[in-house]
This record gives sequence, structure tokens and C-alpha cells, in this order.
Amino acid sequence: MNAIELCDVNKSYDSFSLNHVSFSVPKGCVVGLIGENGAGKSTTLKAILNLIRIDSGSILLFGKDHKQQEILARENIGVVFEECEFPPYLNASEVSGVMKNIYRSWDTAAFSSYLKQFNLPVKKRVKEYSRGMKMKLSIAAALAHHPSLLILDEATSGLDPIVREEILDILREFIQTGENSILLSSHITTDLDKIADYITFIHDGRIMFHQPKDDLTDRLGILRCSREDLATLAPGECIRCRQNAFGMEALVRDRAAARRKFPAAVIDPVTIEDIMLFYIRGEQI
Amino acid sequence: MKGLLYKDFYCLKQNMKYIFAILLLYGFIFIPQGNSSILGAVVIIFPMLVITTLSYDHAGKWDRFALTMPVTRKMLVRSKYILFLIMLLFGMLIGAVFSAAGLLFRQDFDIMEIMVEIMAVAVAALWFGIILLPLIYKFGVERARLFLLLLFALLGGGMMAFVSIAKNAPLPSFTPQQSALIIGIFLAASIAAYAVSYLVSVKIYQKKELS
Repeated sequence: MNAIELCDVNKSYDSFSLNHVSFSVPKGCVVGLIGENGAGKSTTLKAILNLIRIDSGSILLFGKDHKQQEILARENIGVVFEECEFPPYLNASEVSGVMKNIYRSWDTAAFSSYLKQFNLPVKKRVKEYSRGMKMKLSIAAALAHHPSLLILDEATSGLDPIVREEILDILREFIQTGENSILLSSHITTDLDKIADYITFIHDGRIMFHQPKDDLTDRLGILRCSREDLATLAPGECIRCRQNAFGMEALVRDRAAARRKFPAAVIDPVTIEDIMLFYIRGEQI
Repeated sequence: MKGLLYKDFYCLKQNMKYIFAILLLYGFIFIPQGNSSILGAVVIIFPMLVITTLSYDHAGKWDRFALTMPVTRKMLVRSKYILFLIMLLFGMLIGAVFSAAGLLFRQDFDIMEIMVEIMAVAVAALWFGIILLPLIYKFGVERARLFLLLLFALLGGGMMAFVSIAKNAPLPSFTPQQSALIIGIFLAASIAAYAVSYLVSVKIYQKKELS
């Protein structure tokens, strides 16, 4: 079963719209939602959480329409936004006091142990926390009601590499059982290289692809060649290309096939960031 | 739902401390002089703190976050209406405590008149809630604050007009018992209006998009 399933979701604003957005978050998987600022990542997450109303299409959470049994579904979801949204005047023990009266499944002991694990002072107010501490507090709160789905919106952006790695460790631990799922949006693609099972790339409100990460990184490649060589590629083989000082760079669908065709050319493996850059800045031939 | 109220109480803890300190200071100065005008302020100031919580919520994008939890929009609105009532009752209680303190200082303190005054102010405060809360849900705290100023101005102007009319043509005077009855009837009507106000706010808030 899919934890989240979006099917042909549309939502239009004056200057931006989500167009026919469809993808899913399979149970037990980490799906990374990537895209530039303003590409529609947060809008998509807000639509899933029913914070904004979609114009058409359907969104299923745990197999049910996301507007049905909202309360029940919410018990099962932990959400972390880019900014920590706990009131700044509260301290961590007050946060626990609030949350245990909101979530039926709130686990005060688990929350305390997360606080200890993350070195978060209990009596300090949220506004005195550093950015990394706030994010860890949000994650502790999101985990302390034992959800089976985590939705994180830019949770690692603006954090130093050490804290980011700590957070990734927590997420790895969360996913280990195979029962839990994570949807995380990020433009820090190196984090997704490390943790994501699927990559969903959204650009200008449209899903460009939704694929297993290993398929992308194992098969795609960057071919460096001349414009003439590039012209000999079969249509569809080159996804995007761009010119640089030394010739052409092309994102090719099949690294091995390209190597057979151009044995002398340099063909590099790709990272998620390369793919994203090619899609956004490259041109189609 | 209880959690939402807890959150507001925690947020207001600091404000409440300051308000208590100021009230005590004023009480010490004015009550021994037989001046009971502070009671009105005491009753109205606590429910008005609900507006403060709404502005905190807005600044911290709390609603958006809360709605990712097992919390509905209706619950968010309801918690504010309940908080407003709790604060109003609390204000009335503190007002009563101040009156009792006044009695200790001065035997000529007319307790009945003061009780009527507290109730009258409470009803006025309730009407602030009835009118302001839907406006806040519709226009946001910042713009609704302008309405608050307008309300205060209207109330002040109305009272001045009333006083000047009453001077020229004395109105039939009521005994405190009669005025209590009139205020009681008005109170019942106000509570009904409060319920309607709640339903209007829910309706407005259901349609809101939280980006």
C-alpha cells in the first residue's frame, strides 16, 4: 500500500499552478521531492496536508481520501516545516504538555529520550534555541507520537553538515522497520543522495520524473562530446544538453549505451544535483 | 483541543504576570480612594488577551502547523471562543476580588453597584468578542486591530453622547435590582449572539487557505 498517493492534482494561483501532479510514496520508502525554490514543493506538501484546497485530482493518505477521517490520519503523520513553528515562549517540557493533549498517542517518555539524545535543554525557551536545535525539537515532536509517515519540508536546509547528518541518522532509524515512510522536500540534493529511495522532481508545477533513485544514478550519465557527436545520438537518448567552454555536455539516458557508442568520450556518473541542473538549465535537442 | 488551550495559557503566562503587577499597583493606589473605575479595566483586559494569542499564532504560523496535527479548523476556532470566555470569567473573578478588597478599605463601597458595573463591563467585553473575533478570522489580526480602535472610539463616543443626553433629559432611574435584571436579559441575548459569532467564525475559517 502507498502511504501517499497523488493522482492528477491541479491547483492554480494567479502566478503559479500545480499541473497534473501525480506520484506516490510507497510504504517503507523515502521519497525525495526536489525542485528549485518556487517549483511547487511546499504547495504540493500543503495540498497533501489539506492546508490548501486542490482544484481537481485526488490525494490518498494511507489509501483513504485525505479529507476523510482527517483526525485519525493525522495521528499517524509527523510533520516538520522549514521553520520551527512551536510558539517561541514555550520550553520543551511545555511543548510536551501541549502535545500530549493533542495527540492521543503522544509518548512523553519517548519525547524526553529524544530530547536527551539530541542534547536539547528542557527548560530553555524555544526562542533561545539555535536553528539546529529548533529543527531537532520539531523532529523530536514529530516522532514522539509514533507516526508511520513523516513529511518534512526543507527540514535540513540552513543547517550545518553535522546536524544534517544527525538528522539523516534519525530518519534512517525511523525507516528501518520497513513499516514507516518519509516524504521529504529539499533542495539540498546531497542529503537525498544519501537517503532517498525515490526521487520526484518537480519543475514549474509539473512532475518531470518520479523514479527510483538507483535507476537514475546507476543508468544516467553525463557525456562530454562535440556538438557533431551529440547529433548522432538517437532521439530520446539525450535528455538534456548544454554547452560549456570545451564542448557539449549531455545528460544521457543510458550511460552504458553511450560508452559503447563513444568509447573514447568521457562519460561520468550523475548526482541528483546534476540531473536537476540539466533539467532546469539544459536544453532539449 | 485541550492542548490548544494549554498552548495559549503557556504563551500568556508572561503577559499575565505583567498585567497582575500593574493591576496590583493600580489597585493599591485607586481602591483606597474609593475609585472603582479600575474594575472595568480588570474585566476587559483578560479577554482581550485572546487577540494577543491570535497575533502570536499568526506571527509563528501556528495554525498551519496545528492543522497538520489531529486538530480541525473548527477546533482551532472553538478553542479561541472558549479561551475568551475563560478569560472573561477570570477577569470578572479578579474584578470581584478587587471589589472585596475595596470593601476592606472603605465601608461606603456600594457592593451591589460594583457587581452591576462588573457585569455591564463583562457584557461589553463579550460584545467586543462577538464583533471582533469573526473580523479577525476574516481580515487577520493586524487589520482587525483597526476595528478594535474603531469599536473603542464608538463605545467612548456613544457613552459621551449618552451622558450629555442624560444630563439634559434625565432618564428614568433604575434601582440596582432593576438594572441587574435588564443587564441579565441583555446578557442572555449576548450569549446567544456569541454562539452565532462562533458559527460565523467557523464558516469563515473553513474557507481559508493556509499558505
